[in-house]
Amino acid sequence: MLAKINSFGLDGIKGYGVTAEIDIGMGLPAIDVVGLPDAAVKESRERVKSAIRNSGYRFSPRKVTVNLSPADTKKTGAMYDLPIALGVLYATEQFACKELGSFGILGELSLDGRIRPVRGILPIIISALDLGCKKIIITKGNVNEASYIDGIDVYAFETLREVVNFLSEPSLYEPAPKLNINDFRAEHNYAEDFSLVKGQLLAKRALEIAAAGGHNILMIGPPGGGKTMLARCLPTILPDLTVAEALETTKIHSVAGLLDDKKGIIVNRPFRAPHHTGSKIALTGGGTSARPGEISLAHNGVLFLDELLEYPRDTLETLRQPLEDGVITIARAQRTIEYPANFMLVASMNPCPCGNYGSKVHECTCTPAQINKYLSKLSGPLMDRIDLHIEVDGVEYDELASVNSGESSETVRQRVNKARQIQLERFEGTGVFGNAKMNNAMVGKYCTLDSESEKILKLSFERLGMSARAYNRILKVSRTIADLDGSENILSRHVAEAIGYRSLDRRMLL
Amino acid sequence: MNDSKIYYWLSLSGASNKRLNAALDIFSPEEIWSELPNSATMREAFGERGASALLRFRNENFIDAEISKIKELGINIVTRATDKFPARLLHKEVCPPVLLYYKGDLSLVKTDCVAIVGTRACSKYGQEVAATLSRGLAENGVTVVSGLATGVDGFAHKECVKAGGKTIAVLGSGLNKVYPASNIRLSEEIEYSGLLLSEYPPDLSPTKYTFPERNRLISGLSLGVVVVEAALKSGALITADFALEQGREVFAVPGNITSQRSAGANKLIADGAKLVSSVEDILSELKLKSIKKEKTDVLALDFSEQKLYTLLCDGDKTLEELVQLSGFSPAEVNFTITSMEIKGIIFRIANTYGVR
Repeated sequence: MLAKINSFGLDGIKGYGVTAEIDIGMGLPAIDVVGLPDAAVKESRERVKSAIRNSGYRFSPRKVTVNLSPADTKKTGAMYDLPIALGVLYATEQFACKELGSFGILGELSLDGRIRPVRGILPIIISALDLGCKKIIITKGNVNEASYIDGIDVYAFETLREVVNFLSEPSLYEPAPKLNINDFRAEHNYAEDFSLVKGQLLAKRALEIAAAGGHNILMIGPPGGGKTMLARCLPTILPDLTVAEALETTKIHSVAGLLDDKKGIIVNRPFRAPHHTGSKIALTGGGTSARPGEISLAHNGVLFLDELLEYPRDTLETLRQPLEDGVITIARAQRTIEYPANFMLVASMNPCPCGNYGSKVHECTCTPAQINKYLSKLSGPLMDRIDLHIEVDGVEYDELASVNSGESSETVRQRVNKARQIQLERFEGTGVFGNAKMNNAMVGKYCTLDSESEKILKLSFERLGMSARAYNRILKVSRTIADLDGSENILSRHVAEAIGYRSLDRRMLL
Repeated sequence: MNDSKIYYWLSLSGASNKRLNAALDIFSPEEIWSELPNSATMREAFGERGASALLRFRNENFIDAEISKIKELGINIVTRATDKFPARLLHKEVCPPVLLYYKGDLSLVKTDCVAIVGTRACSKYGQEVAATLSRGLAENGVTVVSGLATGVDGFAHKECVKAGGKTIAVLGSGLNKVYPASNIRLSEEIEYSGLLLSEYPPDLSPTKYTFPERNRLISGLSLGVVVVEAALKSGALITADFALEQGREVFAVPGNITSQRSAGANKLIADGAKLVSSVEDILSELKLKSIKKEKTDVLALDFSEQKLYTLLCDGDKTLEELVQLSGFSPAEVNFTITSMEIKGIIFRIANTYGVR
């Protein structure tokens, strides 16, 4: 007899329909899985066999053929265990269900018949809804993640036996209660706080601007100056995620299997800090299963690259496309996947090989030639994509007690949120969430300068030797500063401040 | 000068500059060419070794190749027989070469020249001082002389070119072998706006000996030599020694007593060199006219500009220090400082600001 069970597969962060067809016929006892299964899918035979026996059912001593269609797409992961097991039980008539075809079913089985969570539930559910599937059966371990989407009934169980009982009498069960996506709140319980970092008011201001507009920022300073500490505080002032952003980010984390099901959704902007020894693939995503990399995990959040120049140059160059387009395209032998990668780059580096150039605390022992060689590791195209550069110098010990540490993260975040709100209204419907991502047309439309600001900008290019590439960056940053200021127009003081954050353009001249 | 004459001049190699100069005071190159093999008085003037070396080095093919090479590269030659030859070099103490190779504007050697020299491994302090002095000199119409090395030399040239001034680079190698290669672009700029000078044939690569040797020309061309940053064994001190021998003024920029890189410059001051803290120090000592720059709207400072300006007058500060000391918000300090910088009231080195 033949059973057909609907299930789903994952292609990047999109789901697609997979039908598991299970046929039991004459022949030597065996299970064959066809339809381009990977190793995890092939091994499901053993799990299915044991799980069925250990749940108190019979496993048919006949020839079982499993086909996962579409047959020409590679199937990965262990999520077809549950559909296959149910298919075998249905085909051997151990339970009956009239509406089996209306359910989508996903789950990995353990040998004792329990159902284990799988990766990528959120994107699959969203796609399932698009594909017209109204009911879905998953494990309890995935239920929170699945409960944010309206329009689809989610039934969650812990064991194979529970699922069989449910399918025999579906009308007796209620779907899992929905969680309201609009109820979720960003959580603000951080160990760090801006007010705990001594001094560095200027750097904090720059980070505030970066957070408000989503601008990429580079911190330059001697070792021990507090760059890393400042960056670690950054999450405390990031603007709250919008619902759309939260869903997108959650999808990626779900696909990567990094989602905490207690919450089931990402409520805070992600902060990813991959080490510089990590591979290019770890950063961009890829591998045989084309998983999302760090830059996609940082989608709508922060990618922090500490000691930027320690990263291999080719690794850094791979950031260029995502920094420009907000997506990364990963092409592998069998598929091409596009992951969103709309992150805010926060980087830190030393100003010279010894680290002390420009420091008031220690003397630099590098020659200008060494410094030039060191800085030349930063490619122009990458520098082109960084909006703010700031110098972070250490605070001397005896100053530590006396310096003004400024506002708490809470106060700053409120300003940032306000500025971000202005931007969200400005860019409504365009898919742009922050000033940093404005395209040229938008810059022309929203960043108009009065004659005085125009004059300052012109003079700065003439007198300070700014490079032309800085022009649009300065406009965008000025826009954000004006937003923070609650000003509709960009004023000359906004432009002047933005120019102040372009230190590297000028350092190169020396 | 026509080719045939250059031909004779180029044949004068092998003997020391001292002997050549002495002989050329009496004879012309043509005479030396034709009579050296036979004339005993002439051989005596060169000394036995000098004379035989001169004869041995005579290679007509070689000289022909040299002439066509010079033409091809656009290099000019000036000999000590003409008025164009730098008059300041024509002293026994300088021991000038009998001819100089050059590219650019030779008339610059007749202007007021001041040399800025220093270590190749300069600190940011040396870099900034070299640039500031060079700019100051350029703005006062003084020609800046240096050796086109990395470090202080390079920054002095660069800033002078940037300021639209005139600069002379005296090379320790042939004009076709600019060293270091990182300064080739700078040498091209100097060729158009200043003067490149060398006593060596175009294809001669630099050696350990050529740099100290050319230093006597740097000091010789100049009215005074400013040593910006020099360790105890720096080549800049050789230049200073030459300057003293040649009766030029020696200036030195003081540095931290803890800094190895300034030890040589500090020692020069201890030995009696004139201490330099601004361009005016150089100009007044050399009795050159100082063209006063009109101060730009210092009076037109607004309240916050005035406050930050006062703070900076007490010493250079970073933005962070200004924020802490002024009590202004970081944003206000940043845009005020930036607009003051644009107005040219203050300057910036790395992350530190100071008043002009």
